Amino acid sequence: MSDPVKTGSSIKKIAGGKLIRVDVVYSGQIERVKITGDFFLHPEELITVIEESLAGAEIPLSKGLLVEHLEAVLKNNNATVIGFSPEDLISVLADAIK
Amino acid sequence: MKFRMIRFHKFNAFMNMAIDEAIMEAIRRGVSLPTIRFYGWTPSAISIGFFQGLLNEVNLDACHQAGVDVVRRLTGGGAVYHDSDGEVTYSIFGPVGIFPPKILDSYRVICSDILFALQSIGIQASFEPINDLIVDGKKISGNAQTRRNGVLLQHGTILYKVDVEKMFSLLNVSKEKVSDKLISSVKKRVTSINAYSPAPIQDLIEAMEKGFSRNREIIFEDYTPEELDRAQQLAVQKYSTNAWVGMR
Repeated sequence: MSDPVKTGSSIKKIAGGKLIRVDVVYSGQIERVKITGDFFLHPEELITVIEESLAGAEIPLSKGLLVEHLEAVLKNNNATVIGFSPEDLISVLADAIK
Repeated sequence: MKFRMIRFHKFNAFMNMAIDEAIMEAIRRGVSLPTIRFYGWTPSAISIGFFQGLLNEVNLDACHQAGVDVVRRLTGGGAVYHDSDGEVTYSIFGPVGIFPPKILDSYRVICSDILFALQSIGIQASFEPINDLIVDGKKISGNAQTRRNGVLLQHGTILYKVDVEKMFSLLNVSKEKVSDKLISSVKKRVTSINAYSPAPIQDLIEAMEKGFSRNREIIFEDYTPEELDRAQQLAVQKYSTNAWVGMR
């Protein structure tokens, strides 16, 4: 029997940074993620790539691997985030799943 | 570096954001000079950052009742209430290469022109990274930047007079954002020019023109017909649509 589909959300104002909110749909793995907030990401359209790249991550989350994954996505796209770190985002994502 | 400066004029929210995109396109194509524009908003409007959730940030019923438009910006950052009579907005555009490469450095450099303008009307403000200008610990100006296709756009507002009660009746402010600042009310974090200076809003506009004219060769010109035509198109097909405003 497959895991039931659940939803969760978490919101955090990063000290010295910006506010991030993560809404997630998950079962045994992440199905869908939406990341919102008053942060800056250059280029902006990369946000959907990041969201889609988190789908499929198994639960419980391997936080270290996901942080490395995010860092690679940002680096490969020559992207700059202002207002949160990859660790911050994965931490908020994990809180949304609890 | 030669810049076109476009004098203060009010548009609706959708046109304001569409004009910004149209000018970015024109600069990218090499048909418009680097540009500084000053503008207002009529009717009053809320602009939300590119990444913000519309329903998280905006009380849509209150906006509808108050006749306040809501638009999503090309830039990140937070939600802003643009009172039709209470603020001056600027946008500065140019090829990325004429600005400091680091984003935070370019905020600081561009915001120094605003600080100069405020000082000239007797207001001692300071730059507070990431993207705010503050007076007495309170925000008087918010700024946001994007870099697309080799063109930088930074826009921001300077609050001239602020109706905090109205502002916060239109916005949904999260308790997380407030608690970080360790103050009881987010309303205490905002201030405006008229709390510190008797200068009329026209003086602020002229001071902004002078501030942004420092170290630049300025030509006063208007929008081109092509920019306005393209902006009209973007306003209808993009900025006023639910697909864009409610994108997140």
